[in-house]
Amino acid sequence: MSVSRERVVEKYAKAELGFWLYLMTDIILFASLFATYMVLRPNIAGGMSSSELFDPTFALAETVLLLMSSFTCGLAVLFLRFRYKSTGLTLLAVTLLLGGMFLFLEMYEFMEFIHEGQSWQTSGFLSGFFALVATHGLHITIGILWGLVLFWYIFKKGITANAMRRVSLFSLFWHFLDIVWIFIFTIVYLGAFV
Amino acid sequence: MSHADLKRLLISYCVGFTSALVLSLVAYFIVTFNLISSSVLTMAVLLLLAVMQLIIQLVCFLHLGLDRHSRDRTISIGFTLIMMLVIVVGSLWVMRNLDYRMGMSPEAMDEYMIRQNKKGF
Repeated sequence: MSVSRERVVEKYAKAELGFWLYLMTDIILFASLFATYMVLRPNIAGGMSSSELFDPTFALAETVLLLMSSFTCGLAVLFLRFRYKSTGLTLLAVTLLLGGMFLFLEMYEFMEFIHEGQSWQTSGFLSGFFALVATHGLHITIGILWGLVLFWYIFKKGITANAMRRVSLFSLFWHFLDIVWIFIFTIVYLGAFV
Repeated sequence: MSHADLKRLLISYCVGFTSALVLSLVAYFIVTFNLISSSVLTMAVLLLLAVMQLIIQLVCFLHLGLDRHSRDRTISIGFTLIMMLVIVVGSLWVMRNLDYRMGMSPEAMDEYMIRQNKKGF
């Protein structure tokens, strides 16, 4: 019993460090996209500038949604770890719902911009903007799919050691995406009005 | 893990969530109500707020610290953040410098090249 438990803990520690290192490479990816955006921002090529295009209140709504989602994700893992299956699964569902709402707002914003003729082909600024924000949105999309699979897995098989390891890694990913969004909110959306 | 741990972690998540929310709102109000007149100072304050939020989320949500369990992760993120700064600050520095040097009229560029040539590069 204690030997197998030790093995589970060790397996988790290895998986956690490995996944963490993947997240570190993702930081470098986002850093490059941030640098690209900041370099290209003045080049609006006759299109709209960042302060004409962005709405800080809309961005704040997205920020609050994602922050709440990150919070409920942490609570979901906590409750699952303490074997409260239904509470944990409910919180996981809320996490995915909030993430879905965030994604919907982001898509809506993109459609709005493209509708106004401000797509990624218009200027260097918009290319940088779409590349940065859509990469984040793509991560969120993958995260939601991953969360749905995990929800199904725990719902069917219960809180096994494998399920716990996977859902813990998922929460690392989800918290990480919220941290990236904080910088998008600050530098892209609020920075436009400074 | 006992129920005391559950309570401690719950409090940690709630503190993290509340302070992150407050910091986001402060940043938002600084910008929408134009609370700081100098734009350089505003950007510095916004970045400071973002970094505070980064640290709070790393500690409260991702449980980073210097104990045995999370030390490897803390060290690797420290290294990555340094690399991130090199990429971002380096790119901005190089590109701004290039922009400055290329943003002259053709005549000014000729003069500049001749002047640099006399210096022998």
